[in-house]
Amino acid sequence: MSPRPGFILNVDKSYPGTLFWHGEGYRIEKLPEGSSVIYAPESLPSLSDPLGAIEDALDNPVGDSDPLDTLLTSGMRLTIAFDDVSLPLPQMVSPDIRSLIIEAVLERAARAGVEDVVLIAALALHRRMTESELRHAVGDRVYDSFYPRGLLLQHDAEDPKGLSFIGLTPQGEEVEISKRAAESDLIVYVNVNLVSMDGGHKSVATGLSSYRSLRHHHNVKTMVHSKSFMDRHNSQLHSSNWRMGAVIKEAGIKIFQIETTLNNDTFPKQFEFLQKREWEWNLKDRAKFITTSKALEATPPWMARNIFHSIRSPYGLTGVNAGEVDAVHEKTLERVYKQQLVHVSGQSDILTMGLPFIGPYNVNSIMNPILVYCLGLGYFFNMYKNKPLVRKGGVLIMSHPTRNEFDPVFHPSYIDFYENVLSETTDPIEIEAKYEKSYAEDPWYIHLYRTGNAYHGVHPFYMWYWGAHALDHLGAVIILGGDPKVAKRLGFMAASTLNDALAMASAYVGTSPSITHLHSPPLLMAQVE
Amino acid sequence: MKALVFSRSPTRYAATRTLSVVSSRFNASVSPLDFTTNFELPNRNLPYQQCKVLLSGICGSDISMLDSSSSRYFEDFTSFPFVPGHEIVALAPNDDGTKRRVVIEPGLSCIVREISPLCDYCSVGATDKCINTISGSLNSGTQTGYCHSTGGGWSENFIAHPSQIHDLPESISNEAALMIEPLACAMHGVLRAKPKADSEVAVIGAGTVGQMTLAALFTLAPEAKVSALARYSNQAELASSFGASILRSNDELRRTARRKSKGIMVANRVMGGFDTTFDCVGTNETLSHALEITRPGGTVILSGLPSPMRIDLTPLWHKQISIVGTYAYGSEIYEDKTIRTFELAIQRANSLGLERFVSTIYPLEDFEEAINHARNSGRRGATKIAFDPASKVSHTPRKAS
Repeated sequence: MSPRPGFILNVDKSYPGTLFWHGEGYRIEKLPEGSSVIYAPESLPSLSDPLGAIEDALDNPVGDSDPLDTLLTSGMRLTIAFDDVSLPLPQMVSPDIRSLIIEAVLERAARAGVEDVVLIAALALHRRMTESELRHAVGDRVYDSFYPRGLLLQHDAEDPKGLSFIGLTPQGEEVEISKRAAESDLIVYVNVNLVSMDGGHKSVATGLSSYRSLRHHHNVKTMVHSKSFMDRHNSQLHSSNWRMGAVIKEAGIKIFQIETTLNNDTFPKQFEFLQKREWEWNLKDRAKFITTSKALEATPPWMARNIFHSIRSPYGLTGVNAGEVDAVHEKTLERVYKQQLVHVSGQSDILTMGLPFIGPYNVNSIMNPILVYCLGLGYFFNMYKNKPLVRKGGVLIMSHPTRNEFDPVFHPSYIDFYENVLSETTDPIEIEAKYEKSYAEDPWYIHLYRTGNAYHGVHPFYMWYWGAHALDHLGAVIILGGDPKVAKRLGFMAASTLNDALAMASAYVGTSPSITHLHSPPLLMAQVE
Repeated sequence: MKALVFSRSPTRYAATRTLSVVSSRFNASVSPLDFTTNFELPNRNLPYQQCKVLLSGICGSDISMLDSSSSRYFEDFTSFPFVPGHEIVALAPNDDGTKRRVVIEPGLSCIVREISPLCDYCSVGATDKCINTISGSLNSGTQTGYCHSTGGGWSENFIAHPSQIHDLPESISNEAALMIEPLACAMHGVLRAKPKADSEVAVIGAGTVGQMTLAALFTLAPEAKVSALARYSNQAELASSFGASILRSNDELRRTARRKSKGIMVANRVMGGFDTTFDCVGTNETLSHALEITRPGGTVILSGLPSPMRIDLTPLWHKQISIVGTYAYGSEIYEDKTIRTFELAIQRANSLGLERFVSTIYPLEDFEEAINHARNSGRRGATKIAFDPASKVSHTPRKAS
């Protein structure tokens, strides 16, 4: 039986309630009659022979590219860059798809007599991965062969000797990337595409670049005009990356892009009910929901967090394409949309969503208030094509405990951003103008980024800019079940129940609003007409 | 007349000290402080003048004294029994029998004690450093409010030397005038520190001393960049009115110290930090914290009356920090002119909205409640608690709009 497409439930009297993620837990909320609940398409079947699919992609590249074997020659300099720990979410069960691809590429390189091979985790300004995360991504065999010899690197965007200035785009955007990558005869980029924002020229132009380069698209103006940044062809973020990609290509830097797409199998058996439609829950699902939710209620947040972060997703591979960046990425987008796209008719006054325990920047860590903001107003809000799910001036209600909790090792500058910047203003434009430079150039943050496991000092700013389009669009944001003081610091309101949240929203959208709920998991993208 | 009188009583001192550790309430029955209706001021001839108290504040140093938690350093510079109260707004007699509103500079230096010749300090106007605090025509005491001879503000009347009396302009309300003494103290501290334009300054504590330090920085060093540690919301609100960035916890201040100086932070050790830190509390914890957040070669100004403490001075040694004590007021050189600190405070009072800081005024009879209120002022949303001997009931003064 082929998987069912996405579905929009019109809430009526028989409706059993909707599961909302709520950080390290979940709750069932009853939306008012007439509300719409958008469900993602069912999981697409995974490829039965992933290794065969990888080999096939390497042999039969798309676009203007030769097969990988013909690009590999003895004496060449080869750099294999790969997506970091921010993808996929949660981390996938072993073997990670990246490790399979890297092994396949290395095997071919060895056959061709390539000896100068370096692997680079494309961190951009993300935190360095831990040993176990690196091992998971590349596999033990590759890790043990490359890391001890200094051939498995993590991109250092603050190493002045490790960066190369490539040139300027026609818009004057500076392009600076990893020197090793720039001076290689070939860059093989290994990507995992969880959402349509990932991949394409963003892989190298962002993943291997520096603050000098990133600031040209990671800024408020670009993000406000990326409608949405999940829609590559209507995203200024992507336009800028594509311009940079052109500069890289013109400079003679060869990229062999390998992109993969995953299905919607986000959770293992014991949490399978999370991605089912609630009215289709069987007795087992109900029992699992009750048992796990009761257990989580009695579990301290730190322990619940550890439990959830230990989950490995049984994602299935739906496709792998290799070759020329643009052509590969178009194929990727087709597959991502096939898995995630749901057609929705019209915008609503209120958009509701439940936010999970994890986002791209808190793998094995705490979802701090700025990341909650980014996940809701950045990622989830932007999961649309054409126009947002909520109308201009509408209200976003997002469910998350939003505690005043930070990870001082991974997110040191976030703490200062929360305390010193958000206490003064939440206006992205003012924040960017007044504070960004001092955080970006703070030597202590740079030191922690380069030598520890800290996100770069400027990273919380990017999180704030990620939500700038939503901030510009929305009339109000209400955090359901959030800490009121934290919500206030973010510039939002907090409500303890959905009814309270709806009552608060009525001040902005009246007493009979239309309501749409973006159901997750799994992830979906709305094509709003 | 009505007065609150503090007596020397080792038993009551010990009892108060014990109780203050276990309870946040002031217990009048065991305290060395008594309310009386038949207090008599010692006779004093001219030039001393008898003044009538309009308002007298309860200072942090008064609370420490009442809790018996302060250092015993001052005991031998004090004459018992005495009427406390050194923050005083009063009516002083004119030659024609009328009265005028004044604020009292409580220091009992050579001139006030009619000592001639003046000590080396008083002769140059540095009355805050006067060495003659036990001699002359008055009993021992560094200030009015700690001297048997003069009485103090927690009574209906007291005695003052003309050099202590500063006339108040019509425009300054009694409540604002009550804050002139703590403001003058703070100005003295700020002018001792002389923060440079654009220097980073931290103020630890946002009670009366902290708020007046912020006010002094605001008016005397407007180009300094000030961060204030304020634990309570009302304190934070008042502090932000002087342009300070508000921080709510030691951790927050520590991180700010690191960030502003682009220094490093290993565990709680900050290398880098503020150029100048005002410790407006004076406890073990606050002075240790001040040393943590001050940059190498920086200065810690000890503004709050310190309690006896044991402290790790390694950061002071390692970072070569200077600790500067600041006590009371005297003469200042400000904008190339010599001026009494009190006169400078009176000049600037109107621009600072000082009346906002006076929270509740009590009659002397309600001293137990007043002192309890003052003892827990931060938690109870208050800054300055005061006595009005003429008042029958406690009240909140009307704030200027």
